Amino acid sequence: MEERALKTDNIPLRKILVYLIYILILPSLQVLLSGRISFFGHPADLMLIFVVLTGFLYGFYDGIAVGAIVGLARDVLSPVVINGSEQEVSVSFGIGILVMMLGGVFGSLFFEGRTNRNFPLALAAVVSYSALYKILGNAISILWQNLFVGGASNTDILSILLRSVLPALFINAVAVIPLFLLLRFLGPVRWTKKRGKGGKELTYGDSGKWLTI
Amino acid sequence: MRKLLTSRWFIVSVAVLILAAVIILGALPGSPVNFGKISGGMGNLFAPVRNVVNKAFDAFDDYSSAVFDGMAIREENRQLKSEIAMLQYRLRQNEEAAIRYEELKDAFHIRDTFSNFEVYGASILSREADEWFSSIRIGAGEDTGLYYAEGLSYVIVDVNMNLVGRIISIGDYESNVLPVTHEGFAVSCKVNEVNSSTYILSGDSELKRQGLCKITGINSNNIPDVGSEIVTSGEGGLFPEGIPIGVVESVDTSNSMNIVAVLRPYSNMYDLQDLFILVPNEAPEVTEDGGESVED
Repeated sequence: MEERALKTDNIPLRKILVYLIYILILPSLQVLLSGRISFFGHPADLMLIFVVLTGFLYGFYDGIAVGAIVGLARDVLSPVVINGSEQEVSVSFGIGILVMMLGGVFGSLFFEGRTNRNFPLALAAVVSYSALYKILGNAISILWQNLFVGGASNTDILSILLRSVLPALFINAVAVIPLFLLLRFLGPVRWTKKRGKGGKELTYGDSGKWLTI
Repeated sequence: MRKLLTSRWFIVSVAVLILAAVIILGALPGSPVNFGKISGGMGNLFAPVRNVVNKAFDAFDDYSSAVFDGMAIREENRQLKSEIAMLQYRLRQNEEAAIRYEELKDAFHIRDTFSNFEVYGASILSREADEWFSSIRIGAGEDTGLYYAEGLSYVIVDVNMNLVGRIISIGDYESNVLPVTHEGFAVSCKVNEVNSSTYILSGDSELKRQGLCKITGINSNNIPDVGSEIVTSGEGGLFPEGIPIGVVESVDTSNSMNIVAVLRPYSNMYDLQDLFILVPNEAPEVTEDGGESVED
């Protein structure tokens, strides 16, 4: 099936408003909930889940655009602090945009055209990207420390898995449930409009490759 | 050509390349483009939304407390009344002690830990503590009187005056805080007792995941005991002496040339509600050896 190009003159106002509301509320909600709901010290990464689900449910262009804006919010609110070899530190800019944008793209490409856009697959998409995010984050952090900074303690893969990766995957998987329902039923596209013949959704996403729910 | 420009892989590749250039350009020392400053004003967009979300949660908390916590509150109230009576008795005793202390302080020129610092409160705007993002953003910037100067950084403490970190960048209305667990953080410290040796406390990428820090520079003749409280030593002048940091959780003496202790900080990044900034009363004077001193 042929790919559909982005039509910027045909973006409904509802879509912009709904995304704007989510983008403004989720970072605040994440800060607020991080001290209240966590699993082994790991709070849910609502912003990451949101961008993956947006790409997954509403396609490539929505995923990449929303991912970039959410990533910008991440860079502004919690920038990555890079440390050098002599304890000097610098605040970086752009890593949040990159990570979140790729999250949106990942969601949109996840099993595209092969399965339905349903909840189990959404869960799998979020868990997969969360795993990638955590594993890459740990790998880069360890490499940076060993190559450029020095003085890192011994790396224990089991400890990383048990203390960092698995708790984050679990709490993110739990947080997928409310966010999936919100984006599905209070999302940028009216849910009732998406129902076609026989109660099946016909146009879902922007690539034209997706199967119906 | 149009097909190439609208290709999804082309869009992703171009975006990744541009972002990689932005990240590298921004990270270079002395970079002419300060992306952090450019984006700093955007934090203000989130302030009103954050206030609304906070108020909504507070209202919900109040409502649920009123419904579910009635019995517990009555019991707590009864206990608090007896506690107040006890505290009032102690307060009377302490008032007398405080008068004596002031007299001694004047006589012996004793300096309070924070006597040279003004303490300002600041709310937490955001906090992340994973492998990628590890910083706290607080709602105080140049509008609060904070400013950037060579050799000056502001110390951040929690409500119990335990060390949380230090400010690393200051915006118009907001600032970024480097927490004690971050790999880039380092401070001179000592055991909270008279004439203790000084050590170096710093973050570690492995220990950060467990909310811990490491202590190095330990002399084999002066190893801190497990459970001992570690405070700032005051050396270097950036951090005043005596700010509690945490307790020693373990000590690895397997290599006598490199003894490393693990410290659990008192402040837990995710439990923090309000933070306090220690602002020196006088601008610090940078000494020849790179440290700085705060004038009385």
